[in-house]
Amino acid sequence: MSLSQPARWKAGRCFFASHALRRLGCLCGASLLAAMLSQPAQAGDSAAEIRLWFDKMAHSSQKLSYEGTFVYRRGEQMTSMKIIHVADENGERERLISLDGPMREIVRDSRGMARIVTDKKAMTVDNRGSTRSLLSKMSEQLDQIEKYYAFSMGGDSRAANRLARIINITPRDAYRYGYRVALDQQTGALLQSDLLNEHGVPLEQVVFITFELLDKVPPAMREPAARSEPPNTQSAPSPLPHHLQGDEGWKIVKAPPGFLLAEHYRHPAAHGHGFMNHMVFTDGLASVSVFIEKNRGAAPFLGVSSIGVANAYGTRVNDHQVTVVGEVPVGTVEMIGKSVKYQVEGGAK
Amino acid sequence: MTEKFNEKISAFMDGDLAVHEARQLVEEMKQEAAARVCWERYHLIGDALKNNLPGVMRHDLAARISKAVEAEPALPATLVPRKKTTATPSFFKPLAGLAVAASVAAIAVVSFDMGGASPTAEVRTMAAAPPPALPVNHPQAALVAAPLVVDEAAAQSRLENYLVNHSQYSTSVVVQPAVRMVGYAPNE
Repeated sequence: MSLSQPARWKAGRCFFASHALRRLGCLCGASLLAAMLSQPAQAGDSAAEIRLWFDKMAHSSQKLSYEGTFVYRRGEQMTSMKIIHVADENGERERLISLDGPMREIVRDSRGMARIVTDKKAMTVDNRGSTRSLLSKMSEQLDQIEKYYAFSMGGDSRAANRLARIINITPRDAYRYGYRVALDQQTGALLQSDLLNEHGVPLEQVVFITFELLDKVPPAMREPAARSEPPNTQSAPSPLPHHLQGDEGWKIVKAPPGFLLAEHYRHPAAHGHGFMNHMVFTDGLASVSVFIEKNRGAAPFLGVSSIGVANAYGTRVNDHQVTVVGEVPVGTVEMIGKSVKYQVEGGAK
Repeated sequence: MTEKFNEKISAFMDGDLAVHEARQLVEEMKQEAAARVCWERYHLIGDALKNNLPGVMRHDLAARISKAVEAEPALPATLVPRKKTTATPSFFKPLAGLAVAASVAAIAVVSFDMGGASPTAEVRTMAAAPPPALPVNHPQAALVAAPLVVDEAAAQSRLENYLVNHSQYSTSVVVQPAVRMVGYAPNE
């Protein structure tokens, strides 16, 4: 099964907080818990200091070897995971293991190939284009990002039993959400990150409960992902998403300030008939996807919707279904969706 | 201390235990120090996620209250669990107003105009009272069009597919795509 095909999220894979908490209790001691101290922004905030922290964060995300457990919460879903990240002369590798619910894990090698193993199947996907953490790009793009977000130091904190530093990222307009991150004071590693809606309520969170630096490659990293693979699993890589050059005639006439086309893929369409275009727009922090597929008799989606913490907007353009999806305010997906036009050379089609 | 016991404590926190079970649990917690530490830990996790922790943490809460618990003759009124009206953990209460689906796979809250037809009058009556008007050019102005709930399997499946692709091919400060993949790995 390709990642592009619909994944059915069953109730068994919805990890509600209480279940995760019950398991988490066995994982962590009280002293390891994040103690996020909300302190007001300190006087003397400086752009240089913030840039230093983001440089540190970018470096740590690529060069650090560490092992940790964290809670990932998205809306009301919550799951706990273990991560082992190794960076040495052989490159960057990572192993991500779910700690509750059905077994799921990803082993990513230094080339960016990811082996995904679940209870029932395993597959290899090519993520060379997508797994590079945004963290490693942030410091490079800070000047651009600062046009749309204000950065401020938020004081000291504790997370995963380590001293951390809070940085608040506040949107300058209502077209994007804000963030609050806690960076390890020693290494710059991201120990907690929250996506905050317009009311400051966390929509999506990663909270590290334990975090330890590694001085050598742990045995777990040498084990093949296949150690627990189910039988008869597919071993060939799933079809790669086809990268498209340019917009192929699909134009976003009016996007909120700062959202630029970053990627353009072609995936198999939802139900195996034909293809769909997938354009990813980003302002440097937030991402919005625009999906375009030819109408094939299915009921079109028109208007605004929300799925979990994401908002969506559907419309029809040139006999195509256009759907905009993103963890951004509803006004953002709507503005982008309403401005999609198909224009070929010589005028609109 | 067994996992089952841990689950009881968690259920107690969520208000999911019957009164007699709660009383029994409290009695057991009086005897079992590890249970009290577990109780403290669960509250810490919830508070940490909400960023509700105080500036200074005392990690000896269990020890400090153990004497008080021992001295307590009966189940304090404040420990009687809430009525089992909700399975939502208490620390998610602030999210209740967000109208987010219970899970990504849950029924999408949509204001789709299915099939190109306008929402019927009946459907319109399902809509909640509209929120206060916003300036027309405000990004949130679209919310004024109150959503209606459509349980339409095809629409849901299609939207989920879009969301999977969005999650796996777009980046985020909060979470790298691999985390989302493990969180929502296809299991079939």
